[in-house]
Amino acid sequence: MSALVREQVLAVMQRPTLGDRLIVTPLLDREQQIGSGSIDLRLGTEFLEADRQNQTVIRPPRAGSRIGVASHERKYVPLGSEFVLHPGQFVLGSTLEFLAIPADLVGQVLSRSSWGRLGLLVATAVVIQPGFKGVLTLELVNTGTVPIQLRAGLRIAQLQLWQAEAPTSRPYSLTGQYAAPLGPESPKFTREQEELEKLSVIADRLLGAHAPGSG
Amino acid sequence: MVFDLEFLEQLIRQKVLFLTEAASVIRHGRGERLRELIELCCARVIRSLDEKLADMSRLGEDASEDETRNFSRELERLLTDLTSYYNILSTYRHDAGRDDLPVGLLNLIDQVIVDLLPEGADPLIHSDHEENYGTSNLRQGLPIDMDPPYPIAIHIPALTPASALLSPLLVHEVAHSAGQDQAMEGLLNEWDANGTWDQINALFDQHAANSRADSSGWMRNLISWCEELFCDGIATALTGPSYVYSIAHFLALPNGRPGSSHPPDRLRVAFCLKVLEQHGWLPEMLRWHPKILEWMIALSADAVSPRSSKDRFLTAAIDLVTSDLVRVATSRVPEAFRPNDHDENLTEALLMLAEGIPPVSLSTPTLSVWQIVLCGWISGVTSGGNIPRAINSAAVDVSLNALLIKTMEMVKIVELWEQS
Repeated sequence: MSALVREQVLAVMQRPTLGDRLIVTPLLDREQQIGSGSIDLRLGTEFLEADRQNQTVIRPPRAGSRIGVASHERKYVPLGSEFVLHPGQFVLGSTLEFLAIPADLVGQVLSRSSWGRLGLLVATAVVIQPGFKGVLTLELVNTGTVPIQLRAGLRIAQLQLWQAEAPTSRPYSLTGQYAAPLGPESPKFTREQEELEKLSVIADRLLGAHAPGSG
Repeated sequence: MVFDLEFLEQLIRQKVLFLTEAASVIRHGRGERLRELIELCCARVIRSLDEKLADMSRLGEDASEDETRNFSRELERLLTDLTSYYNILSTYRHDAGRDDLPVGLLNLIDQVIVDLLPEGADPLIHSDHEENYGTSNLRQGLPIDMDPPYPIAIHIPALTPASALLSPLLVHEVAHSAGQDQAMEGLLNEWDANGTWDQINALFDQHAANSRADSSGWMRNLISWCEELFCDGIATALTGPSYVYSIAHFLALPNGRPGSSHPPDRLRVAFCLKVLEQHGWLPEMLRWHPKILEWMIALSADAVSPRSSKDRFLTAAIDLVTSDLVRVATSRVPEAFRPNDHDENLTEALLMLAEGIPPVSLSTPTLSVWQIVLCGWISGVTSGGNIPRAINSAAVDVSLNALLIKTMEMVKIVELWEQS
């Protein structure tokens, strides 16, 4: 794989077939946002905040249970409006831009360094699969000691693109559990459900073997 | 009974203080005109109270028991007024500055206001037990002087709050607040002058001949039907075929929509098709969804077979005045949505929607809100198989509606970015 530079990014955006094209929309300032080796992404207008008031602990859902993941409250903040992130606060945000990644590209989303120096972490799930469509969910954390005033529309992250040697036969949009999200998404553990069930069975057997009166 | 005016005065002042404080939590921003409305109402109550107390003190100890009783009643009325102001505040205060609604929905509602209310409005977006769109001007009927923009409650269906495809129904509701009274009054005067009323009366005599018809009741119904069709005309002129699609989805309800104050949906479809024909939309509709248009035309023909003599009268009278209603309604929309506004972007936008991509980065200028809604209908009905049922499946398609609302937000952002 090789990283795409500006000219290659622009070329992928101009591909004749819609399905093969890299789409980043709305791209408000093409000249500024497309850098020499990355595309700047803006903070979107939707946020998911965990309901901290009555949460005791977050645990991945147990087999057969839907309960366990922190409930989130969705908030909408128009472009240009403030969203203050307090020290230690964690929220899910999203990119303003809707992305469509062709089947032969892989993406990586990273914090912009200026924000990182203020203590803001922007993303932890950095890989964007080939064929992904939608806005990117951003995990925003203020690791500093003073509140950070964010504004929807600020350039907050950057997208790096990598050319794969061949297009994938299983583009993410056909298989992914976050198909075409339009705002930040709560965590989903549907894929892990089967494994969790298996682990529960193993734990029961192990506990059963040592339980008083067993075996 | 001793009338304790001092007690009433204290009670009024205490309640005014409470009401003002309760309104003060409404922050600067969307919906803040509600706070100003309540403040004006409270100021008016205090002014009235002071005037009445001054009148009372002028009488001094000479006031008779009757006079004191009358003053007490007037002060009690102020207490009743305060209760009604509190009802307005408590119903709508949580709708000011709501941050739980998609930004695209706010953009859509703003567009409806720009299109129909030249004085502007400060919308409070409200959901309650009603599953219908509706509007109410909160200033209306209050004895205060307030400059526009007025706080207006926009009622959205509680269980489908962000439906882009059904939003043309909101246009109809806002049209009721958009000079409908004056337009209808003008039309009624015109009918007086040109003899249309005589023809309507002749129709009444013809259809009511063998029944104990209540002339004023039938005429009230006729006016009410005319008002509804007038607003249908405005909504169709502004949103194009999207309005008739959104009306048509009601036809799936087994008992139709209740209420004799509204014309049957089939008659409304027939009326909307007339507006669409005048604006050149029918060839386009035939091109996108021939079976749907055929179905709508068949429904329209069926609309003229009412059962009761009253319905026969109403249908015949509406038939007589339809062209007037179309003319007056469409004249209220100087920038009607016509097919030639749309062709450039249509193909590209539909391709993007089919791929689940918001049609924002187009080579041509950005889409208008009503172009986005129309693209949604075309895309949804086409992917549903171009049959009448596809109208219903598109209307309730959560992903499609969310994509359209997101597109509205993005298009607005692009527009504002380019202007700034």
